[in-house]
Amino acid sequence: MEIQQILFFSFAALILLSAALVALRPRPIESAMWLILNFFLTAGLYILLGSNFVSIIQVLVYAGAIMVLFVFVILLLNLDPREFGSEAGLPWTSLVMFIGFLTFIVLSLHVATPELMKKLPEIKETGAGVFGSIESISMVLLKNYVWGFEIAGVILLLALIGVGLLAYRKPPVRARAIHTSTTDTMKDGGAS
Amino acid sequence: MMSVPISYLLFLSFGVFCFGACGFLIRKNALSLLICLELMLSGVNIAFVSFSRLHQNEAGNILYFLVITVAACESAVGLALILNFFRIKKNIRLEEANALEG
Repeated sequence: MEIQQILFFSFAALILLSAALVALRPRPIESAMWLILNFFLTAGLYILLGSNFVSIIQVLVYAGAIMVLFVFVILLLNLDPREFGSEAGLPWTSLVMFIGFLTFIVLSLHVATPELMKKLPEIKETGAGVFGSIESISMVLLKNYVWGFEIAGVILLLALIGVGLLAYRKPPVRARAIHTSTTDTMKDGGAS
Repeated sequence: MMSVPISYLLFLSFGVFCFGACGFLIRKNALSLLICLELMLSGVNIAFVSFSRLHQNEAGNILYFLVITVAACESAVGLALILNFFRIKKNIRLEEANALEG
């Protein structure tokens, strides 16, 4: 067994372990910390697969930006256990876990065909440089998938506008807008 | 380079996705729900990058970028919704989100 296989199996076991801990730890901050570990391990797996740029983006965007947003919101809310509810007492927890593992086994048996059990081929030079490098990815992205690229930009703009609309409140109106009816808020909105 | 079958990578992807789906269905607070959603997207990303490596084709890597774009937008909008929910209800328990009587 060569070194890459040992690395792959250890990465895979750690990814599954941290995924289980993300799903099962009761507090949101623990879930977020295990998810950061999961993203770093996934970045290591992508390096083993040869997709170096994807691995860097995984660390920068997922573990860097998105998870910092999550941890920031968790620390901003500063919840005590009474406010995020106890995890015990769900009657369908074991049923959901059983169906989840059954789905995993069925899907795994479905792909365990002899054709898919062959080894991965060696990395070869593609038309636009080595597989997984920035040159190769950006050539294919801007040549063949430029509409997807543009639509991703539009999605980011729409999310920006939506978050701005969700977060915006007029400060004097806010205290009344929650506790009174909407007609009062509309009447008082112009005056204050 | 690495010489394992593509099936092992797909098993890993299915495992991460199923853990995320189980967590999504059994959690009771909204923040853990969004975190498990990210876990499901991460499991799908593993499958995309694996198939990209199998066919030596960059399309899977580009789909990875589209997926993380959607994940970033979804987490930003979801966290803004959770903040508004917390501002109104003073907690993030999902059983209190019953205004629509679903």
